[in-house]
Amino acid sequence: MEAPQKTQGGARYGMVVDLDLCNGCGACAVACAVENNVPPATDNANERNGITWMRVQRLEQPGEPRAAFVPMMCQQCGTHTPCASVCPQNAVEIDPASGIVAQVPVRCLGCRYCMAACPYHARSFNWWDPDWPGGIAQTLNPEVSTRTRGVVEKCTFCSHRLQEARQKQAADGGDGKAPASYTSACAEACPAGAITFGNLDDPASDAAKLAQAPGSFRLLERLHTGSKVYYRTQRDWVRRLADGRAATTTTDGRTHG
Amino acid sequence: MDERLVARGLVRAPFGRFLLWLVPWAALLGLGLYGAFLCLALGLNQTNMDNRFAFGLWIYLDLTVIALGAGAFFTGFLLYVMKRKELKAVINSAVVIGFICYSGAVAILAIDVGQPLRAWFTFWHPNVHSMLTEVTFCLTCYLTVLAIEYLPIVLKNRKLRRVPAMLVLELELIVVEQFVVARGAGATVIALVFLGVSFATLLLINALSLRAGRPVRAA
Repeated sequence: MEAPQKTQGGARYGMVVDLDLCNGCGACAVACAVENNVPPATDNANERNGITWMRVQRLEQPGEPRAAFVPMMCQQCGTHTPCASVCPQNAVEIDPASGIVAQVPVRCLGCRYCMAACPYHARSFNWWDPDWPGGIAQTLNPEVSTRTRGVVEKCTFCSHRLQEARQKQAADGGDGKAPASYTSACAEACPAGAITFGNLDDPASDAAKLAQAPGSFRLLERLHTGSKVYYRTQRDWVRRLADGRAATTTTDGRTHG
Repeated sequence: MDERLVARGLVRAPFGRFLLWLVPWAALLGLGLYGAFLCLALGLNQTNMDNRFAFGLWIYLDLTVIALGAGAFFTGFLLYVMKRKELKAVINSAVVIGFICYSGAVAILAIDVGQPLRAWFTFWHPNVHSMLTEVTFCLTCYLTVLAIEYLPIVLKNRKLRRVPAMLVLELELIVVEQFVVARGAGATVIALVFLGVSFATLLLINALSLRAGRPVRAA
């Protein structure tokens, strides 16, 4: 169905989000913004032109008593990465050692072609100059560079944390390649434990086990992006919406293309 | 002397009325310049684009103005390659329109991207899988061709004949033309190098003569 991953070094980091555990509190989105120096929204920003590396979308279905909340971030496409294909100046780079799709803001021209290409709407453009009112600048994370006006940014799976974890592991006498201590800020912050982060190529990791477990799926799987963010749910209607073709779903839950 | 430039039977408009006719176009230009200033100084938040509708003016221009400018190439193709001599009367207008269209598209692109000063990065580390890289390279080539096509219109200006260096350049152009015609297209590169070096030397001589207090006089 999809080509094998072109990774070196044995690590392919991914995430499994259990939608039945997520209660939509948004702690992951806040933790993400604080960790990655995402500037607070300006007064006239709205949900369409603000910057969110991680957003929690609410899904509802008539007749279903419970809404579903879907934390959405860069899905870290593995086999076919639309943003990396379309960027005219290689500002999107895929790290073969970890599989992480990284954004190079200082090389970004701001043409927004990647935003048009991304099927998950995971990318944000800096429409305004970043502003840090009231001493927020004092709380910036020194491990992550801030971005300027006119460039595109997105979730990087907290790749600076991978560097930290590698250094720590190497200092402790390890090979410094695939540290198990590496996790993202959102996974750390989730109070419901809905987000599991780990190395998908390591069969012993929780993330790899959960990703292959029954009930796990990926968003828009028919596009064969080979994304490394998996979702889990027992609710069929959530599962159908994740395919993006709810309108063509038959009564027995099968989909047609 | 100017009446030779006005078609027979037409009367030249008085200067005041001519200026009056320019007002709407100047107003349009002023509006565009103000918009460009807003985008460059305050950022693209001044437009109505957002993260969902991330493409704006440039895509419109790429699909319409570029198509209009392509007419210059087709007219040139019909005239120079297919030898349709009756098009000679419109080739200058076609080239001017094409030049305005292509340079305008590039200028609008520079306003419509977030960091226009980084535009050269596409040439420094290009991603050959991107269609935008292809578009950038094509626009550059087209604009270069149009600039070369546009050059005769500038060089044929009568005022330029008063500069001695330009007369020498014209003579050189004729020599080069004969050279290329005689030796085939392969000689073009040699001819261009020759032309470049000699033109640079001419500029140097001109500059030196100005410096020595002997300004260039009318020939």
